[in-house]
Amino acid sequence: MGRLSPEFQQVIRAAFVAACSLLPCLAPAYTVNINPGARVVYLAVGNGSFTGTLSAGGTPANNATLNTVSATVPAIAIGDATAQTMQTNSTQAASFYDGFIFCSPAAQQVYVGGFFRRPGNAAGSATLSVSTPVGGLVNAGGDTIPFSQISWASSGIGDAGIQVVPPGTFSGGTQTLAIFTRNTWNESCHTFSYANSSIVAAGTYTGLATYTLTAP
Amino acid sequence: MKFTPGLVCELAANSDGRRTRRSGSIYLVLTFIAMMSQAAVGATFAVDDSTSYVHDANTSMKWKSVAPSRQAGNQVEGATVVTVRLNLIPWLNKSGKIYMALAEQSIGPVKATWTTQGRLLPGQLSSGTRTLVFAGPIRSPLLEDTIVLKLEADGQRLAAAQRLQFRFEIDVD
Repeated sequence: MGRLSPEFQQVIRAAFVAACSLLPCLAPAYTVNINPGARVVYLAVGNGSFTGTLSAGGTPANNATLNTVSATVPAIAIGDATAQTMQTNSTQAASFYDGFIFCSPAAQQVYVGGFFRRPGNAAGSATLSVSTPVGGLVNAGGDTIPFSQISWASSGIGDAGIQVVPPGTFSGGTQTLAIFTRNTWNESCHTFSYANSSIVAAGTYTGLATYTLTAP
Repeated sequence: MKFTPGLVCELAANSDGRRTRRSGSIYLVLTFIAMMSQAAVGATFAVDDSTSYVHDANTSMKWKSVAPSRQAGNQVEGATVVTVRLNLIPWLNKSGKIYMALAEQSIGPVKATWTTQGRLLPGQLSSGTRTLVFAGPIRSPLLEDTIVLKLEADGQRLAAAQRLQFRFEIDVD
């Protein structure tokens, strides 16, 4: 193949430059692929943990503490239907949301709060439930007290209106307590009481209430 | 580089008759191209950024707030680094304004905020709009900068991976 003449080379160069001026019409663009946020579920009943505070960018952490609520009924008052406020060893007063003192452990309030994160527009809310033994609370002698003898009031310092986790009574078995709207912080403070409506054998009765937040 | 019809005339004058006939169609094309090139003045054109490099092309978005607020907190955010390389050869020695743009997205508004190393202007934009990143005379064929790009979207609408295709365009003065 022979060498191109200078004139023809000049034409080719000119065509190349001119073509370059049109290339932007076909210009590609840089692309970033973004992926959805992760699912997250967090629930604290009683003492919970949070590294830092939410407002400072803190993150939820695990806390294996099992808090208790208890009532000691004087012998003279057993079964007199006078409700007994249950004491708690929970010390959780502050909301992890912003550090606000939301519950009063001194007033025997137990913090109940959490949230769940779910990306996308599919419908779905998380369900907070609690499970208590159908057989009730049991003492060393095998005597029982139905869990339905225990109920709770719900409030929150500075709150007015209906609580996210409303007041109720254990039913024995699994029961739904609340629906947590996704991507929303939910919290309430519960004050437990023993109904004391029946005469029971002396002893220490115990039972475990397990709270579960189930997210779709 | 500036390409004008005058250059085409000069080429024709320097060619003999045979070469003029052979390249006659080329001259017609070049004349058309030259007219298009002249039309670039005062118009908006896409800028070739094909050599731009996204350091993490797959950005995992995180919830803007680890835990949500008492109201809804649906925003997700993420960040990546982009080495922007703009091919400005067609507008060399001209003056213009360069914008970064993002088309409207099916997942709703996407907000982009970026910082730069100084060659481009920092700024922010929402999908469906464009923002100025450079203004003035173009003295270099390649405009390069590294930007830290932060993105924010509605986590409720971001159910699957979403492709965000940014583009650059120039308004030639």
